[in-house]
Amino acid sequence: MSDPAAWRNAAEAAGFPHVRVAPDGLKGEIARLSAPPGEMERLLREGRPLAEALRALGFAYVAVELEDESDAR
Amino acid sequence: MRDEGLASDPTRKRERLRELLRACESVVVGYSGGVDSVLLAAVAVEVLGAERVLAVTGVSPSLSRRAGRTAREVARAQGIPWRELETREGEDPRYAANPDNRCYYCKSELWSRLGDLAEREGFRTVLDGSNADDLTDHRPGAAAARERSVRSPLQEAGLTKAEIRAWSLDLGLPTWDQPAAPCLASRLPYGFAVTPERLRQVDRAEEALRALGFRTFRVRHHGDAARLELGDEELRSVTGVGSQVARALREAGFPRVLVDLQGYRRGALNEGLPLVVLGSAA
Repeated sequence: MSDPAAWRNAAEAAGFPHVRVAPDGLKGEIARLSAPPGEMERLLREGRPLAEALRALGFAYVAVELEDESDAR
Repeated sequence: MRDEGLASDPTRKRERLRELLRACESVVVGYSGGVDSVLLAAVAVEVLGAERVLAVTGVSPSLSRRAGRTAREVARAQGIPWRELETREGEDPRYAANPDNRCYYCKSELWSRLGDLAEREGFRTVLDGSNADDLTDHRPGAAAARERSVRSPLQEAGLTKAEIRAWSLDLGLPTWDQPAAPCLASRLPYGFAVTPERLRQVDRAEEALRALGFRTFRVRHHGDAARLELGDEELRSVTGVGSQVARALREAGFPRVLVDLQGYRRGALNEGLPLVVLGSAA
């Protein structure tokens, strides 16, 4: 279940090769997606197939990280 | 028990509810300020008169500030005698451990206190706002009501949520289209302890989102991360205010803010049971 290569493959297959996937939450139940600038909107609009794929890999939830851009270095 | 002989005719169901309330003589209504309990309290006042009705809202850290405000304002506007009553479910370790029947311990506390109040002040019956649709739902709190002889007249009359909304609209109740607003503890995954501080974090975060214009959403507490479930409209527009959302939720105590790709859905935390274990337990 804990297979970063499978997560990466799922993101590529869904058309998001630049999206990074990492476990988050209390016990790794969330797949946290980090999207490059400009990809966020597309991910929120077209990311449901990727969410389904990651849920099939064992995550209960799939979510995109929202950043405070004023923190950007 | 629901009267199975009732036709689906809403008019007959309304009359049946009035008959049930009349037979109760005087009532304490468990009153959350939601669509069901508001209708129940309003019809109870119509049937029995205000002096034989008392609507009571259980107050604890699991009650959102918004729900408390709504309960008070609607009662005042509708002429429903109303009172707050402090409940202490958080002091029960069985509740605080947040098992999947957490609601049972919360409702046990609520109905026990309302039963004491009714007895002390001479009200004959304690009522809850369960409706006919709730019979098909997983509701461990219903067992606590049964054990304390709490009646559910909306359910007994066979009134569904849609019929309750329609009747509320007919009566001009402002709650007729109010979305479901379960307690703040419902934002914590089962097994993740319920503490006053965590409930405050969720309350602060949801107040902040409301102030930013969000309407359909939930803030789910996953430790350091807040997972936002947003309605379709909010999901489309969140990137425009992403920095403000992230900042507001960080101020509410969440270092990381995650937007769920599947959006808002009721009971979504049940999807996380059992939690998959990919890392160390929090």
